[in-house]
Amino acid sequence: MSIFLSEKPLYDVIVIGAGPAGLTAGMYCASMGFKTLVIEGSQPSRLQLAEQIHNYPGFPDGVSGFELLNRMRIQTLKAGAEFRREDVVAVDLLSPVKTVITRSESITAFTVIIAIGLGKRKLNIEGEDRFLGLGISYCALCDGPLYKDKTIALVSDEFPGDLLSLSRLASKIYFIPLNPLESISGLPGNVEVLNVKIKAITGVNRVEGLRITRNGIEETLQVDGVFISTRNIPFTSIIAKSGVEIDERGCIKVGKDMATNIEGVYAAGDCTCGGMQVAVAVGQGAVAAINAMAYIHQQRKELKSIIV
Amino acid sequence: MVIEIDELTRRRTSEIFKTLKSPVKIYLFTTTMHCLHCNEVEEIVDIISSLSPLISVEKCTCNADHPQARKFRIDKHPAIVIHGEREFNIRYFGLPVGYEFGVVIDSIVAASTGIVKLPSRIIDLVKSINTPIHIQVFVTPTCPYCPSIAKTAHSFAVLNQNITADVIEVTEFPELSKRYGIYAVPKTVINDTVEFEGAVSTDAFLRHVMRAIDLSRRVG
Repeated sequence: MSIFLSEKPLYDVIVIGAGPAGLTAGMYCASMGFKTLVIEGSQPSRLQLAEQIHNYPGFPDGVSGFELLNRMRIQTLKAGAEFRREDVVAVDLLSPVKTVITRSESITAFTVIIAIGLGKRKLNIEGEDRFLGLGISYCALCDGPLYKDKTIALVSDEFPGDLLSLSRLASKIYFIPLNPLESISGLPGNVEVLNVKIKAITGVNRVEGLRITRNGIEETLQVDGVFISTRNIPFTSIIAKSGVEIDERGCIKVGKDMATNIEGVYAAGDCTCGGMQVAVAVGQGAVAAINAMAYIHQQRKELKSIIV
Repeated sequence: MVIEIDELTRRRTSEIFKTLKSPVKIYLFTTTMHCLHCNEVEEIVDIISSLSPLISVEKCTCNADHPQARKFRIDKHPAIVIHGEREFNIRYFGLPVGYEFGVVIDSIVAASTGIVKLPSRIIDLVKSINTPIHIQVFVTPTCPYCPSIAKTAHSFAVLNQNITADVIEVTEFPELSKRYGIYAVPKTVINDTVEFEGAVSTDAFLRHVMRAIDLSRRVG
């Protein structure tokens, strides 16, 4: 493959994403002396949003997601990785030298480790786009405080942790599960569970109501805001265009060695739909890094033999 | 509410403050009238200033018509203004806790060192702005997406004294929330003419600033 290699890339490894998988991969590569760049996008890692993690080894009393991520970041920096805070807008992965393009520059490397995590899924109902930022929120943690003593709807496809934090702020919550739930006990008094179908989010200049059908009859709930908390889907639209194989759920397909279908391209963490656990992401990041380093070693050897 | 800063945060903040170069002055504005968190902000400012000999505080318990408040254009409380060797228009309104504590710490460092974490081409463009710009970034303390945009706004104010950058904890100022229609954070308003939501890239932020300049020229 290396016969196409016309110039030495800027980095040995580019890690896209700075969650637990990306930081671990970056830490491993940098600490072994590989020139490593970690690109941090504007969307923070899901781990940063986690209030407490109780199942990550080494923290018997639990640790906040923010704290854990920060510790990993410091460790990766200390190992010698460089960081850049930019969103990746395109990637060219098919050549032996991979190119990652951000808004301001193109950066090249022998290998790319994709650790871009997950994005939120939209509901795709009428009014959802129009009222974004006008009463529709995908971040209960961020925007919850703006709805103190207001009436809101929370739409979710699983029992969300957001429900309890929102119930302490809003005066009334309509909790609308997308997959009907049998029965939930112990809910706060201001939460009403509605097993209904959502037709549209309504309003003039901002969210004022939610049009639903209950037992076949259409009605409108008066609400000040609609919080959408759906199961996350991978953030892979840019990656899909690059030739990396993605499965029907949007997850990046990887082998046991965390290699994708493209030589020199690895993926780790939630974007591979590998279990959505910090410990899993960390392990996958390490495996991806170890195999990426072996690959670089091979590439360097081939490069040397061609030059000689 | 009693303000507590855990030992680790205190230690880390002290570490960060070792990078300070020139003295920083924090002007604190509180009032005895209708102020939700004035006492708590005073506690935070006192803690922050105790962590570095280079940080001093000047307090003004005064209303908006007080000469000092007028000089600093303080129209709401609590407010803090951060000056380095130069008189920057770096301002924070409300209680800087949660994710926002780091914003204030970073802005103190930027005011002291004059160093901002932005690409050089952005720095050059921001420095070249020669018309008054008023940026208001509305945030909540629990919003992890907010600090990046708040820090960028403060960085712009460090680079150019024509720029006033206000970070506002919106839940403490419901009248502003109503006036600007804030239903999601971060929301940024520039010169009352341009507004955008979300943690956009620095390039996009600068484009919005340029658009506000363009609009003010057309109106002017």
